Amino acid sequence: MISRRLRETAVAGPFLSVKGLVFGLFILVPFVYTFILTFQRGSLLTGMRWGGLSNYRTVVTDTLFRDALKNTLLFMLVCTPVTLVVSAAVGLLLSSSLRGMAVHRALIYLPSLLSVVATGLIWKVLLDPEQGPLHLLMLRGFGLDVPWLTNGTVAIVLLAFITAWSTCGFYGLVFMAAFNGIDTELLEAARIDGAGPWQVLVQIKLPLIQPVAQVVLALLTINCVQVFDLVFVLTNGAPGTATYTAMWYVYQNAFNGGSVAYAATMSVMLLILTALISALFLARRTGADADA
Amino acid sequence: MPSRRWPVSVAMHTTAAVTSFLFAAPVLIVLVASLKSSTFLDFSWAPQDWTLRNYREVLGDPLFPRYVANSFLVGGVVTGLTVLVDLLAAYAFAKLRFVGRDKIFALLLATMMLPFSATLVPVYLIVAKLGMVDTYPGMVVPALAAPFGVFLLRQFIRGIPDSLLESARIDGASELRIFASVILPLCRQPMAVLAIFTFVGSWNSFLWPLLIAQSPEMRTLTVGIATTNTQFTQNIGGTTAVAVLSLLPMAVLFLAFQRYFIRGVLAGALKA
Repeated sequence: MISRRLRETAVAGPFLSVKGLVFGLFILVPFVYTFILTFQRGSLLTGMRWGGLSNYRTVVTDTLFRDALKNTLLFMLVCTPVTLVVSAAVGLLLSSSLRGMAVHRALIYLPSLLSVVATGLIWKVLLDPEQGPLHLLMLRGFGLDVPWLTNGTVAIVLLAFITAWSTCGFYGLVFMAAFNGIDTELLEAARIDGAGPWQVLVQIKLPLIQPVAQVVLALLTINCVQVFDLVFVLTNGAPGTATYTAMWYVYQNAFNGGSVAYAATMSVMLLILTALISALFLARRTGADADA
Repeated sequence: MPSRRWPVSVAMHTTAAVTSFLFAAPVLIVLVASLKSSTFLDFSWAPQDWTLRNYREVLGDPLFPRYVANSFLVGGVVTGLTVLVDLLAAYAFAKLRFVGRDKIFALLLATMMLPFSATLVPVYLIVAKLGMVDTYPGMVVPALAAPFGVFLLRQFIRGIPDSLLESARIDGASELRIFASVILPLCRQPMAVLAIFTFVGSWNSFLWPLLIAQSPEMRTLTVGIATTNTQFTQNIGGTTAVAVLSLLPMAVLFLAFQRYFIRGVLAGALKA
């Protein structure tokens, strides 16, 4: 038995070699390297030196990082619930046996096919202060001159809605599959017992898709912490630093003349934040399992 | 299916129509605008107003075809290599009981949720050290590390009965031969799912190629249109045409392979 395992290990080696190499070199090593960097200082040109906890002392007093984190959290607080609720509703709609649903599915999925860069271009056109149709509609139809991208808070909320628009198709399909996966006999039984469509939805369907909703929620929040591309295309962090997100600030530090060590320190802070959020959902999840 | 009363069915059709309109409208408005010579201010539906001028301008830019070619090249190579490398690894994880298998696989799984920001800076430093900044390998090779494909394919290969492999072994086939003549042909479907997902992901990726492509002729399409300030991102006509052109290959892929897309979405999201 042991010799068989050794033989299979020898066989497995070549099969795993390439994946092992790239995985080690571009995920495992960098992951450890990130933590090491946080204890260093200096620049790549002059050489890195031991810096102790200086990066961590800086990061907790850095008001720009605090503001960037606030923007990221605002983005997350708008984007996550909107995406979750809308994509669940879309999934429910798509799982119905309505005629022509394939067309609706394709149209709803259309924004999810766009790169974030193309998404940014589209909304740049729609919101253009001189001739953007959506801007003109608000201005002429409602007399509102909305400062879409010139007010920091408005811009962050707007980015959150645009992100929701561009991901609901994707998560809608996930929810569609979850609704389709529900045992139809269960639904039939409920109907025979006299439950109306609303009761079936609230008391049977929604509880049954809850595990999927939790996974989607975790994925959404993790992705929200990373928001970057849309900032790059639509606001560039402007006005001033009002739309700096955490990831945008990391990028500015690492690749636009800042300190890579400090950038790594901020990514560790982001990682801790992400881990805390995931742990929260995980705890909820096991809690729900225990209740059941 | 139980028959619905007609007011319910009308309400549902209306909801569906409004929803898909809200999602598709921004894209459709931009599509129409890209085909018009007028702006939104003097918009007209007149037949003489329709034009391909915006597209001619964009395609006339000497760098634009280069961006598109780079995106196809990088996407194609990343996709081909990812499918091959992941299938090899997935076979080992699914069918060979090597030492430490379950622990290594758990490690692989654990990194699936790891945000890119956690490794971004060092990955760049490593790629720079290897002299791969501003090269195609610099864009391709780090993308091969993603664990998703191994997970997806392993699930599928586990479902292939061992007796198939055993009978091949008794016939004296080598492991590589079993892989090529038994596993590979059976995995065509999940390989297609992985290929489409990898290609779409690569086509739409931005941050990594932004860091690696330093000279203009190395830029992929997303990087090119986000960083170049030429006439096609300065005026609205050009911007709309660029947006439509970058969507086009994805839309074609989606329409041709819809069911693979849906399966990939499910595999991707329900992995946890």
